Amino acid sequence: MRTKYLLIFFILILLSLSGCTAGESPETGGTLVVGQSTDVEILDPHRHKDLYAVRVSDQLFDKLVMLNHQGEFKPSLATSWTVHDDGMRWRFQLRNDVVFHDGEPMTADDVVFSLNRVLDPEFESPHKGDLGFVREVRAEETHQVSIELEEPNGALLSALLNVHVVPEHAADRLNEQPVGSGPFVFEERQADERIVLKAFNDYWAGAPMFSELVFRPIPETSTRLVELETGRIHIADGIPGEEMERLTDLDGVEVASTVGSNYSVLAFNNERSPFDDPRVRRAVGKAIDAQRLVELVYPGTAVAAEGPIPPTSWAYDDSFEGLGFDLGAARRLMDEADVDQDLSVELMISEDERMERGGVLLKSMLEEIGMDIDLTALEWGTFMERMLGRDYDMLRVAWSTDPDPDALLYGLHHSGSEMLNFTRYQNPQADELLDRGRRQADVSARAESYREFQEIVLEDVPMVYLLHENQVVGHRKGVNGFRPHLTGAFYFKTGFGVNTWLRQ
Amino acid sequence: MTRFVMRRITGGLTVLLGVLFLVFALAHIAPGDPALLIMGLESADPERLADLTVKLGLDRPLWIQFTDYLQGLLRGDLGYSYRAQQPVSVLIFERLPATLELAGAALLLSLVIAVPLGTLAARFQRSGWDYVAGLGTVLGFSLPGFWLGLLLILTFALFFQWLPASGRGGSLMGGVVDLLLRGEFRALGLSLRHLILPAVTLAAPLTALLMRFVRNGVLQALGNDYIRTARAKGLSERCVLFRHALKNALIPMVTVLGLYAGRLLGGAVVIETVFAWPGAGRLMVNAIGRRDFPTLQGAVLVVAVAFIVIHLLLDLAYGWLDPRIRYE
Amino acid sequence: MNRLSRLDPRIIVGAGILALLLIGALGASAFAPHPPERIHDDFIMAPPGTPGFLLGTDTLGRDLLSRMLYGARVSLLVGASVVVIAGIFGVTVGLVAGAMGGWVDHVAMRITEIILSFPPLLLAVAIVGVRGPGVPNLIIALVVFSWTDYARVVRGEMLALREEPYVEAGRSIGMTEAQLVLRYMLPGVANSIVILGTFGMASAILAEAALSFLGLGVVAPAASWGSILSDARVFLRLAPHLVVFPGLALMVTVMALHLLGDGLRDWLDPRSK
Repeated sequence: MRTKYLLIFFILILLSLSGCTAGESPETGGTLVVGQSTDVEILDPHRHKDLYAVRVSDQLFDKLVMLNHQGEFKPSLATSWTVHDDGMRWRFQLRNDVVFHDGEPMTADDVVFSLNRVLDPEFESPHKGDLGFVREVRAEETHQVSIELEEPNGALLSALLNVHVVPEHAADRLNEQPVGSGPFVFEERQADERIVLKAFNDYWAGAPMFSELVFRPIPETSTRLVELETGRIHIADGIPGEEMERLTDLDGVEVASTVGSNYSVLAFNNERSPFDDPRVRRAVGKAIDAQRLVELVYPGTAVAAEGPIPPTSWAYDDSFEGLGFDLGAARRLMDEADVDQDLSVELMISEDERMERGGVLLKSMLEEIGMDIDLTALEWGTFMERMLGRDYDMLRVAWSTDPDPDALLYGLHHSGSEMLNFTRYQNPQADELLDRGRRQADVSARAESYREFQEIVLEDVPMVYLLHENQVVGHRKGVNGFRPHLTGAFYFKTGFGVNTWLRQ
Repeated sequence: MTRFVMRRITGGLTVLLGVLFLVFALAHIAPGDPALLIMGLESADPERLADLTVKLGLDRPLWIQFTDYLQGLLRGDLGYSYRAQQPVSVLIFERLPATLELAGAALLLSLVIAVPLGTLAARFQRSGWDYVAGLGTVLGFSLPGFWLGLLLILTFALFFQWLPASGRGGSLMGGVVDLLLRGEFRALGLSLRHLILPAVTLAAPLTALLMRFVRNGVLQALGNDYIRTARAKGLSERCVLFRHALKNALIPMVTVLGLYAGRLLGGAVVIETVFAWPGAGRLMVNAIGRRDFPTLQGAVLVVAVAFIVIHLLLDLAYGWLDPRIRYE
Repeated sequence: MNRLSRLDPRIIVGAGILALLLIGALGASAFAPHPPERIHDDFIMAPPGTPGFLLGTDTLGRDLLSRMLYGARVSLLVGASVVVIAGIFGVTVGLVAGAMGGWVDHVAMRITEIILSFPPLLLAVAIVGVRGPGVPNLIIALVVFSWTDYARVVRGEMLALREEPYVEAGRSIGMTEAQLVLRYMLPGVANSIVILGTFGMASAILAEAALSFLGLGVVAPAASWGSILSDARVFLRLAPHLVVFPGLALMVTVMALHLLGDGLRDWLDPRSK
């Protein structure tokens, strides 16, 4: 009895040292239930690249490095890293106290195995493209790994955020019975129903505060909200902006929101008339009141964009100003461009209530400059095929990636990006700046490259940058020390100080 | 009799082949490339797309893909899901218990409500009672499923907080086993509580349909000679109604239930979505959106087989219900 | 007795409601207080009774009443087109199969069984999913899964009619099969077709709402009752009017069709006289 008392006392002291919410004594135990809109089908972290599955994988597995809520890189499995040979070789020192859920220690071999698994062309990992610049991965010592690159790359750490470390000895059945070194251990999965995880008491950063974590897919937003309000789930994703005020006023619920690493654009087919004329593209950009779009369609859940780089990024420059809304200038540009009087263009959107609402609004804005817009809503599979096949006039799409500006910008804007540059934007100067930003290691030098890049796309207007969407998550007040990460991931226990606990 | 069953089985196989061909054709002429969707937008890359297309076998001529698929079926292989990266048979069978639970509960519920109410409505034709039942019938037909579902959630899950809004509370069979073997009611209770709202929503239109058939069938019978004879023999009214008159309504009722089977098994997608019920309907609709053709084909096949078997059983049941029917 | 004087009250109520709806839909441009696409920034989700907006406004401040009047056009158009196209196609198949019998009948019936073996909504989902959302595709999708009802019922009645004495008589005086079908059999099955049609329209309107729920119905900028309802369902708590009014409109229409169908069946049924 006395030992138990002492133990609890000790745990409490430890917890208060680890920096929890002030003024409340954290509790241990309990089950935290997360309701998200989509079911997670794939548990093997190297076989998927979708946010809902990443939220689960992040509990089961660790990565070499992590990004904290401020967007800074923090040690995780790697305690430190050094750059050698002019950025051609990176060396990572690993923790030596990490064990997998089955008790086996984690070594450099597991890290090498994981990276090679992702790079293996036969394996077809969706993360392979993120690491295309890696030449070789080697174990230097039991707890040291070196990564050799084809050419220097400033986005390596960001790319490593996608690679979860898996145990070489248990890699065959990761999809059915995932074993990792993360803060939670896999317990069971019922398709379309629930995924149950248990706290891992030997986690290197300390055991999580609550003992069970459940992910439930609840596709219907109204139902998910009711479950949150009645307390049957603790966290619900995808909260509509319109509901934020009502939910915040409720007794047991709080809404947390983080500006995400994404941008939403109105993209032009730069090769197709009338959008092959930069004046028309600029006119469209100036005819759009992004602030009004945010207020009417994304109230409280997005910020109007100036350029592609979101405010959370280290490359964000708050002195940079976008095209701005100026109807008079837009009309003058249209007159100058002298386009066909009864010009009718198609605006393609994907089928979704908010996309449709935004589409109707954009249509009404563009009618102000004499464009007749034919709004076409398509189901996602068809939309994507037409978009990547460049079979469109104008389209609206949201682009969301790793927070590194290289990941955010390169694919959509570099002329060498065959598929993703669906606008066919081509400007050697922009290419040069994107290449430079990718190769540089120094953050401030990179920031300068991307600042210049933003000036150039402001001139060319290959697409109109509309807004950055927030990650909006509702949670019960009893969930302490939690907020959504800017990537949309959920962290409950990390080496950089996140330690969520549940008041019963 | 045996010859009849044999003929029905060959007929059923033809129909299955047709179903497969239709779903296959529908899937493959669709815009939207499965390889593109699996690749995902963020990792779009022409080389990877080409690799995936080859890996999924989508570069082969359509008829080869189709015959390969049929050969796989003959070996009992339903294929491999593009998306979930698991055998299709696993995906279907892990959802089957939930599907059957919901369908069974809805069926039972509608029978329990429709049979007595429909019979009484016929017995007291043109009474206030008949009109109320008639209004109920029309109402059952007219409520859009998701609308009714959301209203039930708001009422019983949010306002009264009597029942959970979504999810499945463990296996129903497991609950029954628990009750029988250990005398534990908890698991069964949990399971039932989760089942009530979706089952009621799914049952609403079926109840209306059954009520209409029961009422009409009984009404027709009440005008017939054999009922008058039964009454004249001094049988109690209850016996006349439920023994003799109701039997007349059984055949059309059974037919309509058979036609409804497909809707109960695979068409409950709207209700499954509203209540986050892990059934086969969602599997199929998601498979369409993701162009996960093996999953779609497999699930449609299983539902079609179930439908055909149910019909065969119903045809046999006619003979039992009505001795006048003979199988050539 | 005069047949009209015994007209079932259900027919009067059902037909009356439908006539009102039809007037509202056809005269939408005259009755609607606002253009249905007009955005009012200062009236987002305004409640019913807000001056100028009798039924309130939607998420873009568009007038709900105006949108519902125009939406009635789409909903009724979808329902009616599905019934007419599916009816013509199904009845033709049924007549041909019933009249010719043999392998034609066999093939036709196998095809209907194939369609029936699909979960009904799924086939529509697949077709719209494949062809993309939009009113024409929606109609095609709903036709594909609803024509079989007409075909099977008509064929069944044809088989019974073939043995009727007056048809036999016609055959014995040398009328061709085609003449027999048009002269005697089509009128014989007409009642069933009309009844099936009213119920069919009801289920087509509901199916459109269900497809809208799955994101495969009518898409912006067009709107049907189903799509207005389904787009607004997330805001059920904030703006219940957006869910209640279109839902009621759907319900009343479907109820009217069912009342009409029930009434017609009893009225047309020779046995009930």
